[in-house]
Amino acid sequence: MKGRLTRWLAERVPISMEELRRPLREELPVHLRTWLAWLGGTPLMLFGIQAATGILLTFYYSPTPHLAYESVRRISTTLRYGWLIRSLHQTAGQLMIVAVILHIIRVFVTRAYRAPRELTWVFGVALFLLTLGFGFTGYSLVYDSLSYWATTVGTNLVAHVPFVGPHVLWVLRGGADVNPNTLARFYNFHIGVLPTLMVLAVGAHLVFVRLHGVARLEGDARRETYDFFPDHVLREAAVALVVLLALVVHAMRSPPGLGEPADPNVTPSHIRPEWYFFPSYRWLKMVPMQVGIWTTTAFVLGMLFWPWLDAGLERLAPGRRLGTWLGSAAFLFTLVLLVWEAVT
Amino acid sequence: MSLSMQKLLVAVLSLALFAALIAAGGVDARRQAEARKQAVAALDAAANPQLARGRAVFAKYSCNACHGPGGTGGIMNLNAETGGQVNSLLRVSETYTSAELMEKIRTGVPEVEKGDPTGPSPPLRMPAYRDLVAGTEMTDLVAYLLSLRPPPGTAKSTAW
Repeated sequence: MKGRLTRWLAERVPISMEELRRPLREELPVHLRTWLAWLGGTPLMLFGIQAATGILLTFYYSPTPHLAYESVRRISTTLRYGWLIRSLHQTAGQLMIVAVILHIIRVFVTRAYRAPRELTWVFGVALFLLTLGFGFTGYSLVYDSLSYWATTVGTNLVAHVPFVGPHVLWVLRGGADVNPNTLARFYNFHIGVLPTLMVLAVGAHLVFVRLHGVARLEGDARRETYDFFPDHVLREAAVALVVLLALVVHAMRSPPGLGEPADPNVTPSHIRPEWYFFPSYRWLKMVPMQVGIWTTTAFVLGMLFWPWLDAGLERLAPGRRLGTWLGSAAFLFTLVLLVWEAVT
Repeated sequence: MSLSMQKLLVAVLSLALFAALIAAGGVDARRQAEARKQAVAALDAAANPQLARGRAVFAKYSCNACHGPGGTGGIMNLNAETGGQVNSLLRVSETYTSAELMEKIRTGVPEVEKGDPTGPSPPLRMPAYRDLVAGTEMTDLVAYLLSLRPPPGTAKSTAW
């Protein structure tokens, strides 16, 4: 019976099991055999949690201004395990941003972005930007007072982007001001556009990682390797389980809250974005708006095209590691802005 | 760490996650019971004739003009220490007794504290109703105000 089933399947799906198993047999450089190596797999696992809990939330969330807040309240209080699903979705989202940042830091420090792996880096930064996009659009969907006004202020900033700002603002809001179309559009971005782009970017990132293999550490003469499966996969699984456990315990100890309902006529006294936008928020408060917008744009572009920027700096002053100094200074400055905004 | 130790670790963590999900079931049951209790209390309040009369008194004296319909949120009161707006009344039961609330309605709030001490005084303050609201009107109004609650799940914190 089993033989017949295998034969039936092999005729209809003419791929040998050997071919399917090949990706599992990849050999990884031995420096990855540390617990720090989880930084790449964890964002992917967290994205999986986001996708699964997000689908469940869409069953009950209503993306209209009159029903959005009430539907979130219903999910959090009335529905069975709604608080847990919402908490997992919210906290995994925040943690995903942390995990992506840590992953970027590791790749930056080990200079694993250099030729021929530039495109792996570019898609990695694109994933980071998409993750921020998820955070921004997701926050607005709650439709409590703070999230409503954070959306208003956040989209106002877009209007100042040179040349395309007003057009992008119109696309985001579906009108000149925040209106009922805005919530529908943000919902669409959050559950349709961004996930599609995310899946494509993750796919491209992983394809390039596989094509080039994992970069070896500079100055590490060891040639030994270890198996992706089961060795590396087991470590990733252990980290994934620890993270899941922490998320569930966090949800039980501190279920997600909800502010007062959004009221377009009442502006809260303290409007502030989520923590991951603190650096740009603080920076925009410090400098004139146009300077802030241009420098933020330059920062993002610099990050995106960092492999080529670093290579240029290396050609300018060989062996001086100017790129590492510049990147580290930029990171520390960003960290200072984040902490500064957090404590004020 | 050897491969067998890694397998053991994954097995132990899987069991721990399973136990945490069972514990989450307990938390969920408690939350469900609390939500049911609040829903029943809300139904009782809706059916209580005294509260219905209190709601009418609230409208009669235009309390909602400043405190919002159902006391859910106040209108703008620039530089008031209460976040630049008139207080919502959804949490008065947490800070006032019945007698204190009656006194507050009689005497009003002669001066509203400033949010920014160097800024201008807030333009709105609560008038003293003195004996304008009295007798059963006063007791009905106070009963109504003390019955007000924020919607379940509404936290004071502004966390997402």
